[in-house]
Amino acid sequence: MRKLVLAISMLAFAGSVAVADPIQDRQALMKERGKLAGQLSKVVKGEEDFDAAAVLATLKALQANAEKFDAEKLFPAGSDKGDTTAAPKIWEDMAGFKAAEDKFLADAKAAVASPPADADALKAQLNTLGGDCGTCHQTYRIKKS
Amino acid sequence: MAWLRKLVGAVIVLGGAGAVAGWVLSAPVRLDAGTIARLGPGDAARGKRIFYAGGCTSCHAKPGAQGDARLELAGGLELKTPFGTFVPPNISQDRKDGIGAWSEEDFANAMLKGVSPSGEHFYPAFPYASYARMKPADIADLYAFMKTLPAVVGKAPDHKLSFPFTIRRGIGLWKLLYLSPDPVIALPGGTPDKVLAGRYLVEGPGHCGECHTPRDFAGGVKKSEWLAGAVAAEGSGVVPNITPQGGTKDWSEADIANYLETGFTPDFDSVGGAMVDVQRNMAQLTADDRAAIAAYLKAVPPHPNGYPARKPAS
Repeated sequence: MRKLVLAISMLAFAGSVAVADPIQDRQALMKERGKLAGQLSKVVKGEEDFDAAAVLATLKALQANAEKFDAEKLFPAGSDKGDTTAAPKIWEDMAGFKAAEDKFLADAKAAVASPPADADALKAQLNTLGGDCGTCHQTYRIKKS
Repeated sequence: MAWLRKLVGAVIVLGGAGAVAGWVLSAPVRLDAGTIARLGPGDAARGKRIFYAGGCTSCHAKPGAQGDARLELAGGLELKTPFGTFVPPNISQDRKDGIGAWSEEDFANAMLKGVSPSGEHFYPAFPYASYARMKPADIADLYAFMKTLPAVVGKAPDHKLSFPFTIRRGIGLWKLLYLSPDPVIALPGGTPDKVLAGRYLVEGPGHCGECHTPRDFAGGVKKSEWLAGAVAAEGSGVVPNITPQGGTKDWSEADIANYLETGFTPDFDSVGGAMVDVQRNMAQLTADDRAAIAAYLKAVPPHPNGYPARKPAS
């Protein structure tokens, strides 16, 4: 019985390792982040009316997304191989990478703390957040196709 | 043995003639008087636009500079290419270490002919092969704007190149092949002004083709694959195909202009890599300029990707 339990738990452990794919996880998180930025952009561009409550909800979702970003867990050693555009620089300079992500989280929190009153105010916030995307992607992502 | 002596003599004469021809052909050529006359007095306010269109600060600011520090053009970035490491020099207004002592004519010769005030060739890592397409009046405006920027003391380190790229004179032959003020893409009569304005910005000051076009064995851009994308000259990765057959084929002109303004792609990925600095410069241009660039990119001939397909994940 003990052996069986041990075997099952080992199998379960192996299974969880095989299922957890940090590359897919981090890509999903980035996709969601892009989608949220896209929703805000529509408002900035005037394609959608400014609705303070909806905008705040999106900003909160952006903050929640940023809080889920755990660099150590999503970018473990060895996950530079495979179907990824992560730059080797991430592992050479993990502190710098985390700092870039922390800046995004801080800017998202700041936006939630002082919600924009109109589309122009949102535009300024989105410029800051979009700038964070670019700053990180400048150094820590490689274009492959 | 008289014939042998004659043969040797002939070889020496021919070889000597070849060397002389090579020396003459590789000589730095400065601007003609007519072009100099068209420079005129520049306007610093207009020159600011040219400064951002030309992306000067992307290479000449100190590495990692942000905000106003990007106007301190001290140089020092390292561009690691297959030809060696190029280090953009100090082009601040310091009279000793920068270009503060240059005349407008010196500046125009550098920008349009790739020739230094002392009469040496510049390496084409300085993208004068693109700048050669610029209007003399824009060069004058840019010169006037650069005069308003701070002087920064300190020379940047020298380039680190290996033979034969250490021979600057050889660049004269390269220029015969690749240096021309003519447009890359001939556009028919009746082409809208917007597209022509975009061609000027992209092919001239914007020097987009320097990274977005593959190069031949001698390091010249392949005009037959203009903007088809290329393996990045620095590091790993690729520079995307931006012809109507590339990854941007489903982007509208408004999408392209918005990307250049905000850094967001239509599917809300963000700008990355070396394009981040470029996009920040493009954001300083007018909306009309960005729209013109977009219109031109939709008008260029489509090409398949100028880089190999991505290897399947291993």
